[in-house]
Amino acid sequence: MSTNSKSFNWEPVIGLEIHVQLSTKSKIFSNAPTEFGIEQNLQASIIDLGLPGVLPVLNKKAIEMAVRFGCSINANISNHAIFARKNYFYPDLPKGYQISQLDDPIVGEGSVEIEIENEKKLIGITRAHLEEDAGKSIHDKYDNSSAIDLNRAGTPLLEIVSEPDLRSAKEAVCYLKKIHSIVTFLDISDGDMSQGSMRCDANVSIRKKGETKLGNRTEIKNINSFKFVEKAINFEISRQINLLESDNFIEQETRLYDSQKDETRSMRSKEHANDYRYFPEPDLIPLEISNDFIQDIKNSLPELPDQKIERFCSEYKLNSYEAEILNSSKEMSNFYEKIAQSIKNTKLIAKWMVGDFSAILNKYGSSVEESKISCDDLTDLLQKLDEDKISDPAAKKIIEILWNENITVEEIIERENLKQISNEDDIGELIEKVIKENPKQLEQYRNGKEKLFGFFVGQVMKTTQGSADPKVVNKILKDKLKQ
Amino acid sequence: MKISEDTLKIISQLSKLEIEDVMKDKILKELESILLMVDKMNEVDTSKIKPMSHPLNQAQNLREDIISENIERDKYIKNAPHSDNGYYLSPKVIEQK
Repeated sequence: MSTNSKSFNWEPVIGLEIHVQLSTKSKIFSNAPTEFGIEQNLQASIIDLGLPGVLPVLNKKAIEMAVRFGCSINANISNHAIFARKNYFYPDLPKGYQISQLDDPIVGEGSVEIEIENEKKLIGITRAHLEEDAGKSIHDKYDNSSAIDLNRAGTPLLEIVSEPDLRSAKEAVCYLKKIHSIVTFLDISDGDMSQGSMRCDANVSIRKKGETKLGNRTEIKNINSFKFVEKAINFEISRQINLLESDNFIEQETRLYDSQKDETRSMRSKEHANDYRYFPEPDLIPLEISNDFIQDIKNSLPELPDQKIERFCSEYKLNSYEAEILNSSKEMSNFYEKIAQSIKNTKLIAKWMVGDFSAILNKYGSSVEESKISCDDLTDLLQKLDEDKISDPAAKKIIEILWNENITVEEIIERENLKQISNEDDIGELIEKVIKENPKQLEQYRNGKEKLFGFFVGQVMKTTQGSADPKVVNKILKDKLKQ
Repeated sequence: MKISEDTLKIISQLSKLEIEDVMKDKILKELESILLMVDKMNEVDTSKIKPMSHPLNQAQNLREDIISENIERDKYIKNAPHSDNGYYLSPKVIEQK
């Protein structure tokens, strides 16, 4: 590159490889359990340990789950899938190879639609294949050894590979969230990124806008949260731009994201690039998947996020933004629909769930499943709001208390004196009193200083410590001031 | 087909086999003869034959998703040269972190 002009319009090109742990009870090739957080090596069977003489036998459920995913992204499902050995040497991979797929993966080309800034975009999925997870190496437990826990070895993984169709870190996150919602709605994974049920590698390159050739890419390994995906990719994009604009070149390499320093670092530790020496897995003969099997799965697919979003818009009269957020996870959408059974005001439920309820989940870094506010509590609260028994600010306060204390909505209203006065007679009396106490302002108001209306509202709210229903106050005050 | 010493070095590293200097020539020759055989096989015209990954014309038998494995960790772990507290121990693997 000989041009010297700096700061072109650079276009990032991003593809993701997403690893999803399938929620089978047993492992992909053995009958050992797949639970998370079990004492070390208590669920590593002789097959998971790769002891001599053992043979892998495929878990039917894992196949079913992979096909479910394939059907939900309109992908071709292979009738004849093949497993392959991927050879590499690492202590948490006891066999010295990982059983994976190379040619003829179980799920072929498909696509998903994402929506970003009100624009829809189709993201291509190249393939999705089945493989086994590795164990875990713990490096800081012993001074001179690495400790190996093989409980995770053999957990089924679906690796979903996207086309390089993503053009920003935001799009990448949006796509990752879409995949997350699909796999959780399909019930094929719990999608818990904090436990490693979903992990992601990002391939990032940049090129000048208008260029059709791809630039050299780097691969950022093992990113385990939505937030880090965005940060890691953004860091990598600006690193690459800086390099190219200072006439350096991008080395094709694997990098690691360090969330503490918010930077990516080269992982290059060997002179030679990895050479996985793939070959067809001799211990597993080809997997035949019949069209009947595929059709049965297609017929039994649950309602998927996109369909549900559409239904939420028409059935509950929500806008697409609300519907999207309410369908960001299966639990969230179940929560909403459960509340909507007892409260008719579906817009109100959406407003509070998208707003303050989501905000408190974010604040405490919690998922809907882990929410300290139960569906019943939230129903109670929204019911009171809908019936004007409490005010908006009171509801905000109650949400915070509900999260932190084991107490009912009713008890909080009582204890904090949050009951809203909305009885017109009561409020009328209060207003008359306020008017009587402020004759000067009344005079000015009646002489045309209408700004003083706010003053009277303020006085009423003050005497009731904010518990008067502002709608009623406004209405009655207007009448009374005219008299 | 000739195999260079560099290639031999990479192959031995990948397979975790140490090849003594005195063995190098012999092994190079053996590997070359294997490749010769592959070349020979490549002479056959297979363009009209469907690729086959496995010699058996059979399909995979699948397993139901049930837990039935009896895991005897303490017995298995005795096979390891080093272990502690239910962990297998390996020489420290230092990843560049």
